Amino acid sequence: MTVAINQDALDYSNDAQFRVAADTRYLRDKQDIDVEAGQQVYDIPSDVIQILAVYNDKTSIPPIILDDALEIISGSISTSQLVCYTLETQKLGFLPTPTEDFTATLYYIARPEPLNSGEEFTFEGSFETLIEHLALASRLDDDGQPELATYELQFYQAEVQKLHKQRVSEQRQRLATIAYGQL
Amino acid sequence: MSVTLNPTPPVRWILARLKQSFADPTLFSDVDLLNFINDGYGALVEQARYLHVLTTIDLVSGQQEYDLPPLCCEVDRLYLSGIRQIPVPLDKAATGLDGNYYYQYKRKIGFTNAPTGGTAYLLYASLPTPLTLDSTPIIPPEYYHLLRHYAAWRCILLQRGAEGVELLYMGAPRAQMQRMIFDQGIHQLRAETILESAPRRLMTSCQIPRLTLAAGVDAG
Repeated sequence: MTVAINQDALDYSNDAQFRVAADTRYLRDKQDIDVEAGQQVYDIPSDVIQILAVYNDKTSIPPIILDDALEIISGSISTSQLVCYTLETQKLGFLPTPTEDFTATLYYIARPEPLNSGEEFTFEGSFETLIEHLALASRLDDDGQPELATYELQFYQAEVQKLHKQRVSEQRQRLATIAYGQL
Repeated sequence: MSVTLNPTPPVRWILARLKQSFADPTLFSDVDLLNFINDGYGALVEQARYLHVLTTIDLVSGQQEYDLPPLCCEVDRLYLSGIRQIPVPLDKAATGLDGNYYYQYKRKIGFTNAPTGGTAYLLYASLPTPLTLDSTPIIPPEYYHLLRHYAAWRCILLQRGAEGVELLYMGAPRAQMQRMIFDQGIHQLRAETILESAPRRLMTSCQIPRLTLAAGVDAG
């Protein structure tokens, strides 16, 4: 479905799609980062909600907590294994400082890009319906109809829960199928 | 001919929504509303401990105290020569503690033992740079709406003058609702900050392996 035909609808739709993406954690994406020898810290793409894994080719680069990263950076301990950490909300660091170029691939839960009018939602089906309900809730609240806005919001929250349960159930079924197939 | 519409910058949009809903334009100017938005922005980032910055301090031999960065609101960690420094209250620092301790007062940080030079690594929770009409908040876009709720809360209370102050304590459902959503958002953002990212946003806490000296790490 095309996003919007006027500025208000566009802005409400964009706001709603970001919130739906965060509430459902449905969208997945991956992106390469060109790591250069001697450079430790890189920008995380702006559409990242949560990083799931970082890989160098087929080798996982394990994440470490910031305390450990600081201990390495300050020289308290050292590591020979390549690890990564995040900092300042949008920065990804590698330790020890890379000594050669490589491509790190980020796998992450993504938020959609902001849309212009005429473009189509990244989401489809039930997720698109969620955007409509949330956008309507915000609009009603701004129009001085808080009761109706609350009703829409409650509907939205119930649908998010339902989708979440559905997805967990589907994942379990898939796992059960895989396990059964291995017997 | 169709014209392509682009998203309104977030702060301008929040401002427009406030004017449409809660903010009486005869009482509040754009500057007032921007100030409310910035108040909420600062409170959100500070209370959620969202923005952590790592910086270094070049130490001068014999100099005990150093300026903290301008937007620092809390020191998280301080390392000197690879050793984590432990915070002590200012009055305890005066007792001549011997060891790896630091203290804070006003905008200063001090070491109980004057360093002999080198570099200190300081990780701190930072306040955000105030927003302008066209700037982009550092918080994720799914949290932008919280700034509107905070500013709406301020508008409702202030519009009612002295009565508003009373309502702050007696309860005004519409105002309380706005504030409640804002407070819940702080908890949510803070939980994400803590759970997803001791290394920020990286997996969930249970998946993050604690780096051990046995796992390919040699003692420095």
